[in-house]
Amino acid sequence: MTAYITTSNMGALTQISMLRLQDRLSKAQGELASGRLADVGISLGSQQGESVSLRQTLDELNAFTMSNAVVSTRLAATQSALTSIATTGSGFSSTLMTALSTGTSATVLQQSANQALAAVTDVLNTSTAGSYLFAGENTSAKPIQAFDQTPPSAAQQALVTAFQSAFGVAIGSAGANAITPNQMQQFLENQFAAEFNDTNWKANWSVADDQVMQSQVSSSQSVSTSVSANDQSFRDIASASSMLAGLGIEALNADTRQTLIGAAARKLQTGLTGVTGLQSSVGLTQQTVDESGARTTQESNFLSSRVSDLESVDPARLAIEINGLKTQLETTYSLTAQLQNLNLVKYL
Amino acid sequence: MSLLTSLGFARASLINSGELSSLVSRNIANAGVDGATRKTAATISGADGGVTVGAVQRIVDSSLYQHVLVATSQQSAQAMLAKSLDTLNQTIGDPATKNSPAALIGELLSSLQQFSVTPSDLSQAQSTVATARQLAASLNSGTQTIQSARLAADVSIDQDVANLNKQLAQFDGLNKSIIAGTLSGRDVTDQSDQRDKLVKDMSKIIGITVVPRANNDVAIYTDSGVPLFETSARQVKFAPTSAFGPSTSGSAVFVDDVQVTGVGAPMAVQSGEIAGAAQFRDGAAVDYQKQLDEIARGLITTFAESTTSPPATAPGLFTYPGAPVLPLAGQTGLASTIRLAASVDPTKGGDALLLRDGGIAGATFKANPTGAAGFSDRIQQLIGSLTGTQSFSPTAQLGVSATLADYSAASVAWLGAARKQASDDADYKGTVLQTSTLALSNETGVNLDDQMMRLLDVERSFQASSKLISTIDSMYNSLFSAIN
Repeated sequence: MTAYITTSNMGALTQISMLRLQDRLSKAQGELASGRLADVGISLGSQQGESVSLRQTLDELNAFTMSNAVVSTRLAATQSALTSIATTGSGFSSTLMTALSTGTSATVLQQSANQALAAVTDVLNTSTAGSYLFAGENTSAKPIQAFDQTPPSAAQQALVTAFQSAFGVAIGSAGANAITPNQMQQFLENQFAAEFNDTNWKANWSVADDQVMQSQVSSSQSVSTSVSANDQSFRDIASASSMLAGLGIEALNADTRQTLIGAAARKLQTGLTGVTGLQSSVGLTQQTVDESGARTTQESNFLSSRVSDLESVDPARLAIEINGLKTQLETTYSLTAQLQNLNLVKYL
Repeated sequence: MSLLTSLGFARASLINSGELSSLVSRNIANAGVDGATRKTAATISGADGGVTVGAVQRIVDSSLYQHVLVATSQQSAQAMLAKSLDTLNQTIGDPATKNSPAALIGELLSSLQQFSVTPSDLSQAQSTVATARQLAASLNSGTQTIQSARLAADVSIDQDVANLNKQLAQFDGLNKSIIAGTLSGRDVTDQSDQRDKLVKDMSKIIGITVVPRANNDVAIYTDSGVPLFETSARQVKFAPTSAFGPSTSGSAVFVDDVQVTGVGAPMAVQSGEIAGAAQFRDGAAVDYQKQLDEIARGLITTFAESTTSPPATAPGLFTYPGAPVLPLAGQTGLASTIRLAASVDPTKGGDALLLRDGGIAGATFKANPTGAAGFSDRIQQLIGSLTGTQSFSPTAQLGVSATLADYSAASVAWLGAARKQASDDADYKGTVLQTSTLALSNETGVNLDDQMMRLLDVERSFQASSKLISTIDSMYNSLFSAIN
């Protein structure tokens, strides 16, 4: 039995395949031009969720890369500030050593103590991008008040009052000559030391916050990324310097003066050891940030390649497909033309 | 047998040729008409040896025809669903362009991360708040997209119902005329073609079963068995809804007063554009809206502020009209009403730095009592709760526990899967429809060459009959001249 085919179907089949081929061809050309799937949602189905999720993670990693750059800058600035404090401190320390062994004039000593104190104060007041580096979380306020100023700073005032109440004479007055090394030792260990405890330090010297900046450097790691001006090592350095800058050493007798210089040298040494400790801990943090940066880069490269696996198209495969489609379409055209001629009416 | 009898046969043959050629020309004229069938007529030999042309028949194949009806309604249901789901994809766009709530949640998280290392940076705070505003806007516009797609589906159902009622009325007229014609022996083949075409048009709108009855009468039922036409046309009723919100549920379609769409419909239709549109309006779109609502609720809860003295919790960065009470799980319409708190929104005179300090919901919620510019605890806390697992309502079909980012990505995946399935189904049903339409057309349609061959046959027999007549004429002539 012969199958029956209607005339309309003979045209319909070529028409349908022509439409399908043209649709596929236009999509393939679009994909080749953009390098991405024409409709990601339809092509990926539920995997579209994975693609969006990967992009979320990529965003997060990029955010870490950017925020770690900020953190790195802050840490580098902190590190260089600490180095500069250490340099100033050790310079001052060798001045003190010289003074202890050979005797340096009181005025020179007082001057270099003032300079050291001013330099350290300056460094502690470093700011980057409008926020003070050593202010803890209180980044908008300048952390340390300058010691030597007119009218006298609060810290200076406090020392004056403490001195007066301990010895019954004013700083730099003639009566101060009578203070014995022992009395001075007592004063330094008690009343003077009290000026650098938490309460008085925050009242007279510093407005910094004990709470240092905490930063998330990767999704699982949070590190301290600044140093507070309230750190004990800075207080020690300030205390050592102010012994010589603020207690009127030129009015003291030679023995008491030596005691004072010796105490200052010891305090300074403790402070500098503290600063070295801070330097190494900041260095460790820098290393952590760098390492997490390297990890982040690696991870984000991997994720990008996964996103591209999902959404990208293979240009070589597309080119072959387009060629195939073109050939098929041309065949369909020529078939249509030939079918047109296959008609009994033409021969009657 | 006499010469006169021969002449009678030849004359009848000429008449038959006329009738047969008119049949051929009718077929040729219908060759391009959709749904027109091939007409044939048998030539019948009479008792006296004469030949007459019998009644005109059309070629039908009722099983193939039923296949076409089923394929038509299934394809149009899936195509409707796929088309409607495509409009929902506006809420996502291409994953590379960051329009979707999921992408913006990722963006907000990274903006917060950036803010956490530079908490004193006002411009970073403002840019974080701007991202949050964009996120709230994307949920608002997502809701609009969903609801206008639901409205479009509702309008389409309304139009379909109006068309269906019109077609049923036409069908009634045609069917009556066919029954009358059949009883009186008239040629009803062309009208039957029209009636079949009409049923095919209706099957696009609603799934249809055709039951033939005596005297060429036909009854039609929905694919769920509710009568659409049985002796008389039944009324299809639908009350359109003028505006859709997240909590609006559109009305159902009733055929012959039986509910055929919607939850709990006793005899729900399975296919046809009405079924596809209803499935979208009452199913997929509602689920997707619930997902956006849950994402909105997740945001409001995540950014909520709390204080211990006295214990209180209130929406923070993201708020909604029900503030200061936190929204409940599965609460409807949150995605349409979620917005930024004015106190933190710089475009409304708010202070973006409240995001760092807390106190968006009121001064009692302040988390940074000293006002330190480098305070980042609150931001870190927000990042922590944004990346932490939270619970979601099971009614949104996406699982009950996930991080907000994962949940929103799961929603994208859900829509992608639904679209892919609907579009694949529509493609598949389209192919089935195409195949069965071609098969039906081959079975019942017209081939021009075949008709030309028939015409040649008719021409041949016409020539032979004419030759016969002229021969008989010359025979009579010689007879009469011999007589004369």
